[in-house]
Amino acid sequence: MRAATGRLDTSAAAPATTGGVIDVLDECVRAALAARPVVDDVVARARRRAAAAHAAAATEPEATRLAAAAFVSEVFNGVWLEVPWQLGDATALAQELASASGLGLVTLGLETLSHPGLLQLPPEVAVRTHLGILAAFAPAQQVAFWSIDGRGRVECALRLGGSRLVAGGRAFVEDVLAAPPAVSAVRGVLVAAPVLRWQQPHAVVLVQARRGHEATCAALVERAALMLAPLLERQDILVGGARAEHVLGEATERRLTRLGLDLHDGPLQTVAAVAQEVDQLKRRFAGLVPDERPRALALGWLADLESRLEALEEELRSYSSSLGSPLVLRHPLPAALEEALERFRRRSSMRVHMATSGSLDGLTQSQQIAILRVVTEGLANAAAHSGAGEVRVSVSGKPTHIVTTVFDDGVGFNMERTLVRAASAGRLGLLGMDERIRLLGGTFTIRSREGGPTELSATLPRWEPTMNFKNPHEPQKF
Amino acid sequence: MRLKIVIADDHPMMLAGIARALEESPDIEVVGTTTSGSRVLPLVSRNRPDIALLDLHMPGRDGIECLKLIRERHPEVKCVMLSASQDPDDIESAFAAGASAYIVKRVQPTDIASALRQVFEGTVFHPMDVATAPATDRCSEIGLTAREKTVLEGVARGLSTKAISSELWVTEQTVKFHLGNIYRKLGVANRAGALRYAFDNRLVDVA
Repeated sequence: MRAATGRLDTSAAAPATTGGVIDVLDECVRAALAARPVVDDVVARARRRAAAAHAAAATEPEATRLAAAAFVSEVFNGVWLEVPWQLGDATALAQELASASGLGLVTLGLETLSHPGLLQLPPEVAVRTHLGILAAFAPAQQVAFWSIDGRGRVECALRLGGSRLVAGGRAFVEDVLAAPPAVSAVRGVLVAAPVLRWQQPHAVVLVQARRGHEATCAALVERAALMLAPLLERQDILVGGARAEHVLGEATERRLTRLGLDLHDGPLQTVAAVAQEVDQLKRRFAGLVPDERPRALALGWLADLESRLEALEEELRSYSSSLGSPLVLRHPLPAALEEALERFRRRSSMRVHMATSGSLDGLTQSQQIAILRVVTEGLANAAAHSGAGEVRVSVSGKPTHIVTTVFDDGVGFNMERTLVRAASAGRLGLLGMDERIRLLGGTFTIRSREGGPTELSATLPRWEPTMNFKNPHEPQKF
Repeated sequence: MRLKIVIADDHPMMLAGIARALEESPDIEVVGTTTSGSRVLPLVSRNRPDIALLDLHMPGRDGIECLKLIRERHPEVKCVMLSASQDPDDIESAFAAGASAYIVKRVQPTDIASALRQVFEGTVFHPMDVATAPATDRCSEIGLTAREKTVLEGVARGLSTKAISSELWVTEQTVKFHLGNIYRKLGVANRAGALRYAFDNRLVDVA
């Protein structure tokens, strides 16, 4: 990025016009960031904020200060995520703007760190952005974010600047967590501020200040910690909510699978046993009732009973098979998918292809069962109704979700009519699939029309929405 | 010489029913029964059956484990698996472990005695189905039960649901139940469709 050339003459006491200040700052920004469409939009927005701040001030000097601070804050927050910053470039721009506006790094840093836009970012992105802006404005050699993980261990989650963790940093952080100061604490060149949630420290922002600049760093670190508190609280709420949902989903899935197995072991066998008794009764009737007419009537009643039992058996089997999937309980998902496809190939003349991509690790049993059921249900539907020549299965593990699709080139179906008919007949199949996927926080869609083709698609989120910083010991780019 | 059978099934009612059904055959003798998988091997060792009829899922030791142990220690004893499960995975596991047959516990009566005789004689045995009586008429080929055929004949004679129910001494609801099954098996939507199908395919005599 090129260095700016414009400077505001701060030597004279006469106040400059807002237009003049802002024009100079505008020139600095454009020179530093080169031509990008996003820069034009952001600068335009920054100008509007500056104008509003200027209009709100009581005196001209105050108006100029507020306008300049608003402009710088808006620019940094607006382009931060759009520009591939290097640490030195951001620092250089901050210093240039501080010099051009005459406001100093602390004033601009405080304003920029307080921008409301930061609170709207996803927690992990917000933490990175805060630390980046802190590193740009603070006269520091290193900034770091230390947090307490799920097991109570204190870890450096993110570090900017320097090739290694600053000596004494961990000990200082642990002391701050144990006895949090009111705002910040200083130990030598180290400055730390706790991030509080309900008055309890949950993280620490730590800065290795350049010697003599500890106080400046303290002001900025305190502001950064203050702004991070609501973000971490939001993260906790999201994780807690997701965990509760996940636990409930898992528990429900286990109950459903157990119910499916219990139906198999219990009622289904009882029904079969009762049918055996009825069958034996039929044989005995033949000998016990000699007259033809009463014998025929009695045997007819017993045949009616057998038919009822048969219908009951079908219903129980249908529920049992839709509730549980013993396959995946015995094998990891990729193996279970391959087995399911192999069984299908042995029984069908359709060509079946499967493609898996990404990682399928880290899935809960419920998620694995759901994915397997989407595939087996899709195959079953293709075999039973579609007249397809080819079925394509795809399971793709992305960083945040798993996408499963089953596509067949068959004759398709009228979706509304078919699903309504299935619902009224109590056939769970695809409808049960939708429920199962939604229970896990995912989405299930069926695309089909008369004439075909048909595609079932399920998207399941990976449920762990935790902050996942990269290796803090690698040199960081923003 | 009677065929000696040991039966293991953790469902007492099922166990009693199977034993009773087999004992009605004069050429079959049930020499031991148990509801626990861990009792199977001692029972087989003591009673030396010709065939062990084993439930797939049992407490203590499941059917496959019992099967493997019997094959190892008493290779002369044939093993037949019995289960409510129709899961192809279960069926293939059973055959892979050395089962001579796999019988699914269904409402439709299975001629277990015939199945066991065929296993003992070593004749070809379809792994998924037990041999049932071959279809003797068109109705059986389609899958209609004798009762359903009776109801269909009533329809063909022009009888109303009420009239059929009176003739068979059953409720109208029972007749409607059978009609629903008939329509489903014939792939028709109503009484007229069933009649047309029945006459076109000579399921009933045209008087």
